Amino acid sequence: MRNIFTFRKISYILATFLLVINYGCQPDDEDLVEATFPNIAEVFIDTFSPGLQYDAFGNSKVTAFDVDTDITFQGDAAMRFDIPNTSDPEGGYAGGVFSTAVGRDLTNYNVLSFYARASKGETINEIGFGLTFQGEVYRTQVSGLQVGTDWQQYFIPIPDAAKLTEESGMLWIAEAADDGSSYQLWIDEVKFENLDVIIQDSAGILEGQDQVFPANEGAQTTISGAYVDYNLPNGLLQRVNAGPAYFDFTSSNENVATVDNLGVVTVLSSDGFATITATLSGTTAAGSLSVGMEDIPPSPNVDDSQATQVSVPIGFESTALTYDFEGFEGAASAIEGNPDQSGVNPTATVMRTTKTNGSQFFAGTLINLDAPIDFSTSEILSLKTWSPKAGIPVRLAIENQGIGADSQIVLDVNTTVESTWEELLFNFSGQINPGINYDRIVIFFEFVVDLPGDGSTYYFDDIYVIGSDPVNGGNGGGGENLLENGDFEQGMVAWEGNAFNVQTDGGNSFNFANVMTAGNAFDVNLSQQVEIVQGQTYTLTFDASSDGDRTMIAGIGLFEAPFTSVTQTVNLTSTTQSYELTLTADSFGIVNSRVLFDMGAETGVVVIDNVVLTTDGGGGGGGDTLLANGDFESGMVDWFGNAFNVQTDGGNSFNFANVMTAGNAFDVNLSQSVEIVQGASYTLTFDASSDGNRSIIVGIGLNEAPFTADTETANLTTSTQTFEFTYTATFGATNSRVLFDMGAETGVVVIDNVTLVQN
Amino acid sequence: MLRTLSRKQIKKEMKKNIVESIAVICACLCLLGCTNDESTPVGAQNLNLVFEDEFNGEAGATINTDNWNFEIGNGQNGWGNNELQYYTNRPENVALDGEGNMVITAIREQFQGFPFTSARITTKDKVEQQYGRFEARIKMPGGRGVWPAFWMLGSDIDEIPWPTVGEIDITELRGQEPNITIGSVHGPGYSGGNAISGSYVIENDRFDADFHEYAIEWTEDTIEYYLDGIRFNIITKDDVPQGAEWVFNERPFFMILNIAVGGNFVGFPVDSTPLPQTMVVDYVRIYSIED
Repeated sequence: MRNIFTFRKISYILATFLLVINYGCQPDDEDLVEATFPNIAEVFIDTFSPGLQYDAFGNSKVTAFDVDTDITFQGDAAMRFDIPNTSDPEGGYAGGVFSTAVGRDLTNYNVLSFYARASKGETINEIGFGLTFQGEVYRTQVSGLQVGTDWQQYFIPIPDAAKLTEESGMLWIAEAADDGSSYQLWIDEVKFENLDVIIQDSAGILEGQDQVFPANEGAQTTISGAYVDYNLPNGLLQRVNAGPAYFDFTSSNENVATVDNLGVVTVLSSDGFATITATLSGTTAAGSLSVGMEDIPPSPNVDDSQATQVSVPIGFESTALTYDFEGFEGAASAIEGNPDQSGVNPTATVMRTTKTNGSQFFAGTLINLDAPIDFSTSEILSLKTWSPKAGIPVRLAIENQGIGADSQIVLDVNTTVESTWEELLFNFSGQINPGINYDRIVIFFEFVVDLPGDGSTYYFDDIYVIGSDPVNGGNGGGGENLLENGDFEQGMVAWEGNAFNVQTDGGNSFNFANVMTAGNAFDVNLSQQVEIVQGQTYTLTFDASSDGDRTMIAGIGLFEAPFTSVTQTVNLTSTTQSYELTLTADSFGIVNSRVLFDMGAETGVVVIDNVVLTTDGGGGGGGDTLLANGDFESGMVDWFGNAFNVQTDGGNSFNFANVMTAGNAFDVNLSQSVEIVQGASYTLTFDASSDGNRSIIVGIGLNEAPFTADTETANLTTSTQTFEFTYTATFGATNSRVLFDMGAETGVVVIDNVTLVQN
Repeated sequence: MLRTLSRKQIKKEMKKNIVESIAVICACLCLLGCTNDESTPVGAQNLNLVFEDEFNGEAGATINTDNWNFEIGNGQNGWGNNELQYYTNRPENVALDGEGNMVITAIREQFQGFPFTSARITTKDKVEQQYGRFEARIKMPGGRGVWPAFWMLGSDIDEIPWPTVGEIDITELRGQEPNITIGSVHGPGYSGGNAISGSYVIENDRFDADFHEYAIEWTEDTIEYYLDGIRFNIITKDDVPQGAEWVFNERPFFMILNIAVGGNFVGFPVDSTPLPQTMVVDYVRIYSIED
């Protein structure tokens, strides 16, 4: 608040003339320790109480407040706020702070009460106490207080009066007219009281949610969203938003995270977990914060021997592919046999880079990729290196080939051993620009400014995004895209139709069509020919957006008469969304079929990108689920992971996690152990929703190093959806698991009714 | 408790209560000054305990079905009052708390097509008595649209229709007025909104904040209402409307404890009604009054 409003002072000196207060109304304080500060209860009865002054918020209409002697609840005067038009050039709202220079001892009271009425029915945006221009440790307010045209009494309870031994913030208000037009608001008989007619119903932090804060050593966050719900004398609940300082916080593991009395959480260690909880006057508050990271799994060795394109992961094992690489500025590079098939890298083929004598310090090796790096599982790149020197920096840069250096982001990590393979992790978290396709990797050894090359030979291998599938192109999981140029990066190839129009922006290509006049949906079409097999189920995924809200038809169909098709209507918005349609070709199936997008029924832009058509494993259903407590009705059993948090509402239990900060997908995880048999087909189904649009990664994987996994991305919305994914296991072990990795984005993830069936 | 009110009747009853409340406040002010004075006891002296349920048992245990019946469902038209709850015998809605109390809990949840669940228990055909002191120590629920009651019906209600069979409400309250307890009798010619009622208002306190002892002392032609040992109302045969019959000298009555949600008497709950709400009963006792 202080940062928003600059200081503007309107002092009401007349208050000091009225030092005669009715102390007869004070609570009996015979048994109390003598207070250091005055325990004056009155704020505004017929005038300002002793020492009270008013300061308007600087960008409010500062003349809005006055004392009214005509309209009062009782007595000689009331406070009046002339709430301005929201378009008022002098300030579109009224607001300010009533404070005392000397703090008051409010420990004998439990509520601020006042009467209010307005010239029309209105909702006061914020009103409370505990805010001054010097601080807001115990800021307390009610949002959205309804005021009518009759005088009515209002209560703002003090969450824990024992803490208010020296409070200067007696009352504050911030109010803009609901409908934008000016009106008058009167407030009278403002005083602190000690009443037994208000019952504390419940209290919470973090809006009562259990949130997850995946964070490393040194990170800090402040517990927000603290509230207390009170049962008022009229039998209605009223929420009071309370400063976190009213609460007493506890960390379950002080070695991992500490929390101070203002609710500031400091992460001390990345090793382990801590849960932050709170109490208010001894009663437990709802909501908690789980702090800590799941361990980064050690990287497996990459197998790209069957890869169909040069893309991450890269292991240099393919004999069919042409790796597009180049040593530059005096670095000599070649793909060669591994000179030291041991330790963490026993694979056959690696990249050599020799920094020749006298070469530039920025001599290195670049690799151009056929597809951009997929950072959906994490933003950490793993690289295995072999260096004759320990303690030298290795620089890893990624960029877009078309944009070049302007799109480049870099990280330096030192080697730790000499003449031995080791894994280096390059954590690009927070640096990745989601609008850029990173399709070039550049690696520099001993990147020390102005230090020329000395002829040393280095090797690197296994370029891999942590958490992703280490097998490139091995046709695992039946998930191969049946379409060509689904991401439109190859330009005007493979697709057809009058809507086919590839545009490129920021290094990313996509299809752009703008429908000028509405007609039949099929009047404006984008298609790609693909064989469809009758009876087969297909999954069509794509990203799409528009310049407003409009719909489009997407699906599969015959590419010749009678043009039979299976389609769904999708709703586009101005935000790019990922869509996933499950389509079964029940009534047709020939070579001359197609994926189709019909967009002619409405006007407006249609942007389409990253179109993927895959076959599901087929069938599914039938068998028994391999999981225990898949519906979470048995509570906190069978599952594990820092996202494991069963809640119950209306008799139904489910898993609820709320991710506070984005990181690697696997930072926030829910898992259950289950045996997976290599080569077998599994169908995973579950219900999931969120508090907005976000994605999670779901799949099956090893529950031990190297944590190989077969995963898919599920796009969650605020509506509960049922997801079904079919996987063919590229690994197999007793110690395997079903996994939900949800740390890559913030927001709620609700999961229920998880089943895993072997097909 | 068992009533069908028109709007007009509700208005009438509210007005009546307000008038009586004012009277009661005056009375209380007088009484409060002497509640600690043991030399002026109020109520019958020769009490002989004939029934008690202290609700001792393990947390989550069911109530003693030698004493109590469960009533299940929503009755007809919400038990005649357009009540919104579905009564169950699940421990979520009625169970012992392990600390010597029985707890009825009203919950906001979809159940059998109804938006709330709660419980209603009776001693019908198990514990019935004519005349005596009927008392219970209860921490009431509150909240707009919540309607708890400790009340009685004539034992042969299956043969003799309401209101002829008689109803004695020892206490009921409207959750939006948690500082007012209401005691009423219903009979033919004085039922529903025309029941004969008295209420007690506590100042700077509310009945859902703590336990209070609610009781009646019922003798021939007379029912006296007590709160925490303070007699706040006396209803006698002379109070029934002209031509109406006093139906409380005819038969034994059984006891009922319940929380209704919504209904004509109390209005509907709203989103900001605090739920769940609990009615915590420490004990229920019946004494005979010896001459």
